[in-house]
Amino acid sequence: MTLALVFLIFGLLGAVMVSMNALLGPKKTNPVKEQPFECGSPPLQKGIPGFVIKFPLVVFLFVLFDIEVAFLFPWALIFREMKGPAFLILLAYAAVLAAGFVYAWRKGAFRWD
Amino acid sequence: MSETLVLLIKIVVVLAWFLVLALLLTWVERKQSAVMQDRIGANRARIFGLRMFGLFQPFADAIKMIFKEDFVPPFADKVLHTLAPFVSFFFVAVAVTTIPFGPTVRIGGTAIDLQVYDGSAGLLFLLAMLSLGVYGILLSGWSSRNRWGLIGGMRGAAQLISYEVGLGLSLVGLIMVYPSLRLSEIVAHQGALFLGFLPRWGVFLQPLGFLVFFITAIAETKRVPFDLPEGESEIIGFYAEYGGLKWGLFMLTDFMEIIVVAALATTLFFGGWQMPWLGPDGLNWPWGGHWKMASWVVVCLQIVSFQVKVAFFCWLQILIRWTYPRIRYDQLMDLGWKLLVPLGLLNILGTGLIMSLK
Amino acid sequence: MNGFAALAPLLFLVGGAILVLLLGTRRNGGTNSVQAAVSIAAIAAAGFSAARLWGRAVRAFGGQLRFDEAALFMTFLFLLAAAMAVLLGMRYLVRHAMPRGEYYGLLLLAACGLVIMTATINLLIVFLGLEVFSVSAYALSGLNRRDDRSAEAAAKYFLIGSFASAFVIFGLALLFGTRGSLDVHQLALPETGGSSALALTGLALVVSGLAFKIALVPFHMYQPDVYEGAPTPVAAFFAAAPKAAGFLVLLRILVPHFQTGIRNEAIIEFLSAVAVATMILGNFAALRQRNLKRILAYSSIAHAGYMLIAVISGDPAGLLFYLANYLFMGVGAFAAVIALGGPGREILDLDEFAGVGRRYPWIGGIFTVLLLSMAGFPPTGGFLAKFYVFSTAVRAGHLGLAIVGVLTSLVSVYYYLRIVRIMFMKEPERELDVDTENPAVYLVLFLCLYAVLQLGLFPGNIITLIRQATASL
Repeated sequence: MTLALVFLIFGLLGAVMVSMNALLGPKKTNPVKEQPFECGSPPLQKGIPGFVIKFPLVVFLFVLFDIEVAFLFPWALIFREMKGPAFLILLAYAAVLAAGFVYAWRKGAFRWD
Repeated sequence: MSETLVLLIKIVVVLAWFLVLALLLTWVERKQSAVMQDRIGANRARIFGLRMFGLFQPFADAIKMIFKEDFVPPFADKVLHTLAPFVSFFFVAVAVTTIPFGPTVRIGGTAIDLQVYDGSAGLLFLLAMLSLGVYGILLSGWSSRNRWGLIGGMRGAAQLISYEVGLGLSLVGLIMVYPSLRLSEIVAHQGALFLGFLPRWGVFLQPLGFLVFFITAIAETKRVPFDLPEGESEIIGFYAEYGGLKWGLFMLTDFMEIIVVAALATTLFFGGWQMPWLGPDGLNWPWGGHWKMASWVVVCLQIVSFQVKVAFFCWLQILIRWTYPRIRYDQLMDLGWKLLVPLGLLNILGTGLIMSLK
Repeated sequence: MNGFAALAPLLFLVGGAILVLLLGTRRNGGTNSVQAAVSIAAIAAAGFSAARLWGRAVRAFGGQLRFDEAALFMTFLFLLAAAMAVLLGMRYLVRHAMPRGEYYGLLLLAACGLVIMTATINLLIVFLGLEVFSVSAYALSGLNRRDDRSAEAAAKYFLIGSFASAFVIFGLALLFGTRGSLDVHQLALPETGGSSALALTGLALVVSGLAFKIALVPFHMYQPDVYEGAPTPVAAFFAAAPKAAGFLVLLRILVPHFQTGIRNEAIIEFLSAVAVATMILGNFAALRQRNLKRILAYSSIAHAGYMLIAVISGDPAGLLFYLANYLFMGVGAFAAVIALGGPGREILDLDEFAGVGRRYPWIGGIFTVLLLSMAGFPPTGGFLAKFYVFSTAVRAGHLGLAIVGVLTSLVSVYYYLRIVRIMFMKEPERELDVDTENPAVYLVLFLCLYAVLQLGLFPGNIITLIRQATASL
């Protein structure tokens, strides 16, 4: 209920702000304006050529580590109640995490050039 | 019905607070940079000859942006191009609703939380909303069909998801100390004292966690020194093909992120609306002595204390933004992955060790 | 701490895998034998800790992890297969310049996933193990990154495998929705409400997903391509181990279901049709192949058909005996392929094998025995295995299935013996460049030869073990 109302009001506000220019602004265009922004020089090629993205590895790392972080949250919540074994579990978990981290590092996943 | 009304009022008040503060921050940013660079800064906007140190400048900017042309490049993906600024704005705006602004107050017999949405997993909700902001960047870069925009968007995505890991890790230690994901409870936990005089604030219990949190959070706002996605001064960023209020929304999102980060730092690590030694019936000095206060005074003090802390952290971020140069891409990723992630893990381990020894 | 005793085999495997992976990141190349030794040590430790659980009916983690004797028997099979794959890989990885730490590590993780699959009666845990195995398996089959066919195998395996996983998880959702539990004994309860159609659909989906992993017709298409493209030691591991795990899970689901469940006739008819199709298609498709790895792949499909007969006729002992046999025949056959390979290149085309039997009589001889065992000639284990399966099928009233099995076995004799004929009878066209410095592979070959003969001539010990294992099902 609360969230629905929040989403509705904030969504409406966002929609109004996004569409405000279309309602209130002028509409004039010219050929230069319709070119892609290239710091003032005319573009040499049309469209976007295929280019190498170096981020899949980052994405994989993110998925791995973020899921592991997500697992840590419920564990952290009941840490006080579990006392002793909780820390042992953390040690085992962190060991696996650290092993993965060291593996990724030494395999060169964190080389960015 | 009255509940809905109260809720509506709360949402509108928070929204107004949020937007006005964001606008004010643009002024603070310009003035702060002017002070640091020995300039005067924005001071031209005036109403009836009244300049007010340029305080009208943000409003003038806003009006100017509203009446700009809605220009979508003919080669762009129209729908996504419009969706991107909306997504960017929307999720950050929603995130702020989880922040508790003050204690529960009683007005005419009804208890009102000074917080819009107090979910049992409020912290997770907040993190989720913040991380959804990355879609705004990626979509804007992608839909612009501009290679600089696309590269900027990709760079931004890589940066944001890299720092999200550190952000998540830095908060796990905090959850261990205050075992709750409900932000109001986390704040309530911070009201107690330890060692007789220090408030049990997160920053004292989790100093390393705070450090990692603050650095990663600043990186999540993608401002200098972490402004590689946009790089307004030299490199072209993800919103190269935006103008008018759509561009303004990205800009606004930046400042809103500053506020959310400041509010989050305050709530999680600096006691939220708690003021040191201030109980519900007045000040209890750690060296003994008691100042009795009416409960409405206490509430006002607490709300003011929250605002002061938030203002301080906003200012601190602006200070950082004008102090440090931008770091390089490899330095950025190295900092995120090779320093902050291990530090975050170490913080969890250390917290666990100390807590199990006790 | 009972739970951790039960966890020990898995812990050793995972620990070994992590250690090997980290060792594999070191720059100097001389650590191959160290990594192999660590892997073997981890497998041995896992096997030892598993052996200590025999006869103790271990249940841990609220019964989710359940090392009964059947699971332990399977665990030994997986560990043997993994150990042999490690030995097979040692030289092969160097010859083909493949990453080593990843090979050993993923192999151990795959074995770990298979152990998880078998050591539980909760289908959700089965799915967990299936995924642990599958993810490792996708990576393993694409490990030879300079080879396009390896990449193709990995892509195919990944796509079809995820498809199968989706089948299983959807089936599990339906089963859980209708029965309120994923315990195999709960699934077999006779249905009282009107949702039996949904439950049967769920069961069918789960069984289909497993059929993908076992490679039963019509879910077999990926298998020959994966076997052909994957590195040969990996194919050796795939030949037996995942099939064994899939069949045990199938047994665990179907054995209680045949006792108390509903619509058993329909299920049996469906499975019989699948078995017949698998036997016929596997054997006849193998006739047309010229590539040795593809022949072995189709033959493994055919063997899955024979094993399915054992499932249908409710004969767990026969199935386990067949699986144990097939483990050694399958791994041994691939070991022979590796043993006959040259540096940097494998010999796979049938014609190139002309005369190798006479030039390398030991390898050729052992290969021949293994092929004969696959075809079902006495006195090898393959004969006994087929004999048990077919005779129980006849006794259980599945005469037709037994007849199809025998006839297709006769067909298979042709293509097995054709390999033998080419190896021994044909004159070589040119000299083969065979890398003979390969002691680990010879060890595996002799082990398989010994096992096949032992199982064929003196199967008493192993049958005692299998009796204990099936009693625990």
